[in-house]
Amino acid sequence: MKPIQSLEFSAGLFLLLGIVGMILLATQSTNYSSIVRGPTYHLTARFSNAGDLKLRAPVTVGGVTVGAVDSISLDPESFEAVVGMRISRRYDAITDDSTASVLTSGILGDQYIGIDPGGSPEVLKDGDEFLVTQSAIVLEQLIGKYMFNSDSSEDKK
Amino acid sequence: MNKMIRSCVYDPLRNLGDGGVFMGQVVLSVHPGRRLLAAVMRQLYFIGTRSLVIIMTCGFFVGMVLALQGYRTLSTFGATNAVGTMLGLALYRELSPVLTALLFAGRAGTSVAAEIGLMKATDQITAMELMAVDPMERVVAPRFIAGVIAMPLLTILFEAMALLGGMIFAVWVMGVDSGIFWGNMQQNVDFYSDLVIGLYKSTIFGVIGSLIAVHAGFRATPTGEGIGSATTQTVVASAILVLMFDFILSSFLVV
Amino acid sequence: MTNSDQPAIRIKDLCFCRGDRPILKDISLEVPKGALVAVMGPSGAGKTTLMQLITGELMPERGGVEVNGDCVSELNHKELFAYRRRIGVLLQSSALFTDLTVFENVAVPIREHTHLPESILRRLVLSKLEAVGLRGAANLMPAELSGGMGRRVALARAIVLDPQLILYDEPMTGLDPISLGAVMRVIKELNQTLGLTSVVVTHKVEEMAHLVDYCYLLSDTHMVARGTPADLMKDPSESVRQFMNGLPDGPVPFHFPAPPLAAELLA
Repeated sequence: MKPIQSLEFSAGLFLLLGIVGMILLATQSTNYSSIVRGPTYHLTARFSNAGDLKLRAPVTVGGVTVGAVDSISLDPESFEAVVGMRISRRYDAITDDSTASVLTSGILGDQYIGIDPGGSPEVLKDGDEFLVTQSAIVLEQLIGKYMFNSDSSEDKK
Repeated sequence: MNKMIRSCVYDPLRNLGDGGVFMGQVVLSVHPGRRLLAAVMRQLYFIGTRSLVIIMTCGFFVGMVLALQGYRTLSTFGATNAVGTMLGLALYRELSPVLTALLFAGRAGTSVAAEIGLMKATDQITAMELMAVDPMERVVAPRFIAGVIAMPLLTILFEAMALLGGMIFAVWVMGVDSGIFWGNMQQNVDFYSDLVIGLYKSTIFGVIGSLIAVHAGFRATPTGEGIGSATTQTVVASAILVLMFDFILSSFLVV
Repeated sequence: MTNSDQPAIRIKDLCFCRGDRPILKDISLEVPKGALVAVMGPSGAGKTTLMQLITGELMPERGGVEVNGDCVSELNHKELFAYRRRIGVLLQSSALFTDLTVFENVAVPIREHTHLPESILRRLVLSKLEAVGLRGAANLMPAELSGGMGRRVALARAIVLDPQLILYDEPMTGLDPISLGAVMRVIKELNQTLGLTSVVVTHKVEEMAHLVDYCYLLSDTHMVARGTPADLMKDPSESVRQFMNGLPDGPVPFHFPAPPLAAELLA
């Protein structure tokens, strides 16, 4: 009986090792900790250009992740991009005059939604929409603007 | 000409069909209970624990060489801080599931095939049937189940050792800052689309590899030559099917 | 017609072919309960095939095998498994499970088919090992046993659930005289003390003569003789004479069929 017991013990240890390894890898080497958990509420924002925004892109306030994008769709009448996001209920004091902007992380990184808080006494509740939004900056338009500006400034000289 | 068609098309297809039927028989023969659990735990030791040495050692060296080659390439872009990210992404999605599956086929798959083949050759399977013991339930199913359980666990341990090896090389040898190494990785490696997808893949590979091993062993001709051929078949078929399914799964698991 | 009148095995007009080749033709025999009989014949005569037809591993083309009233070829999968629990089979290669001890090997049928508690299981296993004379070897592994000992352990495993019938496939082949004597003694004792109907497939004429009550001789797909060992010794027919006396040439030829020698050597 003894040899059989030690076999099962080793097998159990192997299982344990695997599970512990899984937990360690998940928490230490991935973005697991920044995934939003717990009760959330839903907000929407409309952008004329949603840029490169992807599902599960982070939603941040002051650089801190408070939620994630959970839907991106097109309004067929106004041709605006309607972005839905889930915000953790821990952060339920986002004022209703806050700005939601599509920002780029780093110079060429992924895009995310950054919320700039306003000063209104009212807060956004589940199902509300951001009143002020800023669309994604399209690189070509930026370069075009810069070139146009530098052309016109040279003209003035 | 006919012979070639036979051996390249007809036989593999027949084998595939037989494998599918066999898997159905194995699954149907399972009666959950304490005896099955004990048998599975026992096989988990032989298949899983005994494979730890090869998996973890190879994982360690794979991690080191990935970091080495990656560092060299990344340094031409001045992006050596991304070594951690590169390691995580390369390992979790592709390298660990596939390499672990191949190593598993070579070590555990062949041992299972040979064991079952030998039991067949020495009439132990016949004796079981004559004693009204279902050999599927007592011999094949525990090994199959243990293989499916062991594969994702071995993949995780492979990844862990590979990260360790990569970290040792990048941080201790090449001097990448440890905080940047881990921080960069944590930011860019997604829990769901990288780690979990990789484990999902490795479970599928576990099913494939274990099925091939038990099937080859059970269908081996009961001679010394037959058993040898069964072990070769296990490695070859596992390699081909794992890599084939890797492509198939990767193409529709892009999140 | 009480149950005890029914023969343990009744085979009627049994025919079996492998592909086109007939192996057994019109075989009929009856084994009464509690008898110890032998099925003999030269290699390839179909003795093991006959045994496989009795255990249900093979299906006959025609005719039927009845064991204690059950027609074996008509049993479905579940019934076949239940039937196999009631018979014991000793294979030529013993087929012990190499990863279990002697004790565990004998315990397999008990663990599989009953829920007996460990203490009773232990007593049952040890008493069966005692019957074959190997109680002291209970903790050895099969690899540590000699051929004869292994066969006796397999025998203990075959009788552990007290079957109604036991089939021995060449139990005396490949054993030294001492082990041979031991195995024969066990077969005889089991038959006499337990009244266990026993069928021994063998080709050892002399040993068989001292062991069994009745004997069937198969040759060239037919049953060529039946009777007590003494009857067979006196049987005048050629095939019986060749087998019983070990004559190298006769109805079973020495030379495998081949073209004439002169033609082949001078070609």
